Amino acid sequence: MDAGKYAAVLLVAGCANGFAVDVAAQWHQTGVASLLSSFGVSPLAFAIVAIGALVLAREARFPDQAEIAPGAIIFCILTLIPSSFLSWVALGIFAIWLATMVKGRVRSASLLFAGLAAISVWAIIGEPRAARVILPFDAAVTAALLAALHDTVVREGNIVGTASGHQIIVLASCSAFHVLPLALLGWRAMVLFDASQAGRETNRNLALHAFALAAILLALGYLRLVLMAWSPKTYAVAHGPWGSALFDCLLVLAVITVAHATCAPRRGELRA
Amino acid sequence: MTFVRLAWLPLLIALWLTASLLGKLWRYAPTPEPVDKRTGNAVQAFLGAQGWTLARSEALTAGGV
Repeated sequence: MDAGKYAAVLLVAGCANGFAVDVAAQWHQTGVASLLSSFGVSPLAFAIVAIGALVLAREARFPDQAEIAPGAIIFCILTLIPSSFLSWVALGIFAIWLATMVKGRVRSASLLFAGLAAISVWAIIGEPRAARVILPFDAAVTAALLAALHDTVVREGNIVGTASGHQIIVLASCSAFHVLPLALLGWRAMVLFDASQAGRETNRNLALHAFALAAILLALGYLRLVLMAWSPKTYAVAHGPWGSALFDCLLVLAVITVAHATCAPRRGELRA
Repeated sequence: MTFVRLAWLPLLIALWLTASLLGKLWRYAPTPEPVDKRTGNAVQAFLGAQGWTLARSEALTAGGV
């Protein structure tokens, strides 16, 4: 096994360490049923890990194989400390360190793991703090959209609803921005997975599609919030298990569709 | 002997992964809720007052009820 495969194994194991807490909590709460919710871990995260590991294992050629040893040993020691947060930090640093030694697609694959670590650290530290700004903004946008459907819309802080009594509190997990980082990283992973795209990735093409995906996801997020704030019936539909599953499916579908569009040959271009 | 040529490295990685995961599961294991004996006694007293005993419960179960 060469160093690329070892790096892939270590990074996947680092992700398993980071997700262990969520998986254990989900298993404790719902038992075997946690299988249906992929143990509380987004399918996009699984896709990112799988694609990153595949590209690393297949294509990574480190200049000197022994070069990754010091970083790998420090990473392994840090991961032994029973802290989910520290696992993600160690994984992020290890992935960035590996990325500095390689180029091209392998660097991008390594940075996928760093991105996943950054998202997890953001969810633990950044998101609860940013929620003070983001959630009232989400509620304000929802109120503005709901005003087109309802005459008496009320909004205070992150509470939005109708004067007739149905109001919702917008929480961090309901925010339209909550899914953005993981969805964008999932899209980047899927674009990376299409090897025929190699060498044709322009920053302009990537940025345009990233903005398009972000706009679609925000529209989906606000549609769901409006449905939740509209009436108890629409709340039950949008927030219930079927509604959640439907919006999750739409999210994954949007990511796959935009990734496909990013990789599609441009007009007048023939794919080999 | 370089890092990647060590034959026992996969075993070492497997051991490391197991140890690191077990450490986290131990650290984040949910603490069992303390059993409130008074609540348990109150429930039993209530059931007893309704004529419900363990023996009756077992008899019903055995009877296929």
